[in-house]
Amino acid sequence: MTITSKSKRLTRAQKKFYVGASVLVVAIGYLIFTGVQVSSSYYYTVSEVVSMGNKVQGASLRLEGKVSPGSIQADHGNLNLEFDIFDDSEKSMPVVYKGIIPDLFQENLDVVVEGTVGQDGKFHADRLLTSCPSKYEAAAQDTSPN
Amino acid sequence: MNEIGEFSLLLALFFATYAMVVPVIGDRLGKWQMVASAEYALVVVFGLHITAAICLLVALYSGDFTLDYVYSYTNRDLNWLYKLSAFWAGQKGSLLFWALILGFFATIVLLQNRDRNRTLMPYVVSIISATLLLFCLLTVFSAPVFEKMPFIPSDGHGLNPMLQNPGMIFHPPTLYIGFVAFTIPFAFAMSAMITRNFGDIWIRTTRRWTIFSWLFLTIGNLLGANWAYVELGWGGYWAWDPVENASFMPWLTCTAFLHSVMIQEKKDMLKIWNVTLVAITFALTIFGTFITRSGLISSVHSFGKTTVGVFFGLFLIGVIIFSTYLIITRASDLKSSNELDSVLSREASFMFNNLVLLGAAFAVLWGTIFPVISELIRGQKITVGPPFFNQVMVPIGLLLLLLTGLCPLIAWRKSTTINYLKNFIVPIAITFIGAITILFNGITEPLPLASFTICIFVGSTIVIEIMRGIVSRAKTAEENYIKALINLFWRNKRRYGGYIVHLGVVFFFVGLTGAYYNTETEKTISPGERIEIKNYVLTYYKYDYTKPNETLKKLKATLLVERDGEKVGYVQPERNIHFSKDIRGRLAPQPTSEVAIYTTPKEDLYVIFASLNEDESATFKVHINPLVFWVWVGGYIMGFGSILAIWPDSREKKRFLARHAEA
Repeated sequence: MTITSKSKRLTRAQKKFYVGASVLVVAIGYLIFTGVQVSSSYYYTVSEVVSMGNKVQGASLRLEGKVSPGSIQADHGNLNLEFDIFDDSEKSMPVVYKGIIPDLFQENLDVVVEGTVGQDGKFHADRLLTSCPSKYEAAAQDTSPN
Repeated sequence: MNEIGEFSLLLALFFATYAMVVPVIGDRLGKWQMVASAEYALVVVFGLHITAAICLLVALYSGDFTLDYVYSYTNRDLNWLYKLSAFWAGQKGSLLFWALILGFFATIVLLQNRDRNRTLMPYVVSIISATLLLFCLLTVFSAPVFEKMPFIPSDGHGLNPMLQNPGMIFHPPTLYIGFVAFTIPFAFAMSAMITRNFGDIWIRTTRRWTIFSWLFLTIGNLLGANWAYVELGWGGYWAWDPVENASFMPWLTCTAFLHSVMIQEKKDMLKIWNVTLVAITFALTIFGTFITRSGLISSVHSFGKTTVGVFFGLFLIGVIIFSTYLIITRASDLKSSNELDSVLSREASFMFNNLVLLGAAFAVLWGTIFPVISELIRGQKITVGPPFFNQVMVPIGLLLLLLTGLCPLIAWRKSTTINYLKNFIVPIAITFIGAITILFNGITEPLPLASFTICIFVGSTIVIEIMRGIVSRAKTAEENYIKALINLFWRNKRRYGGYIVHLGVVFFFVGLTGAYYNTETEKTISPGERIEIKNYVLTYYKYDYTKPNETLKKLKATLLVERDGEKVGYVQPERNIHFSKDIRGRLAPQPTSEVAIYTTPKEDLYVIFASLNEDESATFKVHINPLVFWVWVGGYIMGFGSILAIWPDSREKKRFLARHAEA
C-alpha cells in the first residue's frame, strides 16, 4: 500500500492506521489458528487405519475409498447404513453411518467418510460424501445431520 | 461437421499464438500494421471458436454419439435444452466455452478501444491472447471435445439427473463469464505497467468490466448455492467444499479491488496495491479452475485427474512470475505522492475494508489448501471442515457488514469526529429500538442478536442516506419526491447502484443469520400419521408411483401441511430412480430425491422423502430453515444494484472522452 510519507517518519494518521491494521491481522490470524485446532481431521488411507488399529481410536479421521461390492446393508427406515470401504491396497474397513443415505450411493463408488474409529473396530462416520459416478462437475452429497 | 470443428480449434491455436507474439514485436518496431493484424487475428480466433462451438452444438442436438463428449452427457430422450447446455456440463466443453467467452469479450474490448488507449492495446491484445492460447492448447491437446468413440453406441449415457435442473443450465456459464471478464482488467493493468503508463486510465477503462465480472461472480455463486439447496437435498446451501471456495475467493478479492480502485481514482493512492490486487484476483480465477481440474484437493466436485491440471498449474506460475516482475520493477514509479490524511477518512476505511476482505480470502485459501500444506510440512494430510470456516468467517463477515454501514458516510480525506458521529444519531436510535424489539421477540443469543442488530444499523444508514439525497434534490431541483428519487438514482448510477448493492448485502446477511435457528427432525410414518416440528404438522397422505418413460421411475409422496393448526397446503417430495444407459445399452439405476420446499419470507419448510419401506411406511426428514428467502432476495438486489452501477451514462461518457481522447 502506498501510504508512506515523504520523510522516513510515519505521520500520526499512518501510525494509527498501522496499529488498526495490525490488530486486524492478528485477530484474523488468531481465528484461523484456533479454527484449525477445532476442526482438523486427519486424512488416512484405509490400509493405514487398519494397520494402526487402536492407535487412532477416538481421533477425528477422514477416509477415502470405494464402497465394497456386496457389503451394503441399508436400512432406509431407520436411517442406518453399513458398508465396507476399501482402497487400492485391497484392505477394507467396516463403516457405520446414521443418516439419510445419499442418492448416488452404490457399489464401487468413490466416497469420503469423516468420523472416528470406535471400540468395535468399525468406523463411525459423522459425514459421508459421495462423488459422482462419472467425471464431471457435480454432486457434493452431504446428507449428514448438521 | 466434427472435422470442421476440430480443424477450427487447431487453426485457432496458430492465430492465438500470432496474436500473442506479433503485437509486442510490432509495438517495439513501431509498425502499427503488425499490431492491427494481431487485433484481427484475435477476432479470427473468436470466429474459429464460434465455428467449433456451432459444430459441437449441432452434434449435441442431433445426438451424434460418434463423439465421446456427446455420448457422455446426453441421450436420445434428453430434453433439447439439456442437450444444448451439455456444452458446458463436462470438462472439455467447458474449456471451449471459456475460450469462446474470452474471445467474445476480447472482440468487444477491441471495438471499445479502437480510438483510444492505443499505447496500451498491443500488450492488452498480447496478454488476452496468451490466456486464449492456454485454452487453445487445452482444447487441442489435453481435452479435445471432438474426440471420437472407439465404436458408435446406440444411445448416450445421459446427463446426470442432478444436473437436469434449470439452475444448472445457468450456474456454470455465469460463473465462467465472471472469471473470464476479469481477464480484461488484468490485461489492462499489466499493459499499463509494461508501457509505464502510471495514471489511472487503465482503471477508468476497465471499471465496468470489473463490476460486470463481480456481478456474474455474485450471481454464479448464488446460483450454485441455490442449486445445492434445491437439488442436492441435504438442507443447506453452502458446504465450504473446495470448489465452492474456489469461486468464492476471487469474489472476495474482486470486491476488495472494486473498492480500492476508487481510492486511486479520487486520491491517486494505493497504486501498487491495486495492481497487486488485480493480479491476485486474476490468479485466483485461474487457481480456482486449477483446483477443480487437477485433483490436487480432493473434492466431490473434482473433474478427476487429467493433464489439464498441469497446464493450468504452469499458466498460474507464469502469471505469478509475470505480474510480480512487473510490479517490483515498476514499484518506485508507482509510489504515490499523496499520503493518508487521517484514519477517519474514506481512504482509510476502504483500506480496512480491503484488509478484512483479503483476510477472509486468505482464511478461505488456508482452509482449502490446508491438506496440501500439512502434507508438505508434517507429512500428514489434514483437512479442515465447515467448523473451521464458520468459526473464522462469521466474525469477519460481521465486521465487514459493520464497515458497510460505517464507511460510506466518512468523507474523503478527513472527517471530524463530531461531524461524522452526527451522521449516526438517527441510525443508532433506530438500531437501539430494533435491537430491543428483536430481543423481546426471542432472539437472545449473542451471535444472531449481533448480526441482526448490525443489519438494522447498516440498513438504516443506507435508507437515511438515500432519503437525504431525495429531499435535497427535491428542494434544489424543485421536483416532487418520486421524480427526485428517479432522477437521483439515474444521474448518479454509480453511487446509488452501490447503495442498492449494500442494501442487498444487508438482506443477504439477514438470510444467513436465519441459519442459526435451523431445526430438523426425521421420522418413519405410515399413511395417516403425522410429523410435528415447531408449529408445523405434516400428515402423510399417500404415495404415487409412476413410470413416465423407460429411464424414469417416479415415487411421489403427498403430505398435508398445517401451521398453527391451519391448513397451509401440500408438499410432494419425490424419491425417483433415473436409469442411465451404459455402453452396451444396459440400464443402471440412479436414485435421486426431489426435495419439496414450502417457502415463506419467514422460513422454508424443507421435506426430504428418504425412503419408502417394505411395510409401506415412509421415512421423511424435515427441516425448518428460517429466512432463507432473504438470501436469494439479497442476491437479486445486489445484482440489480450492480447493473445500475454499470449502466451506460451519457454524461459520464462525454466527460471520459474529453479527458482521455488519444490518437
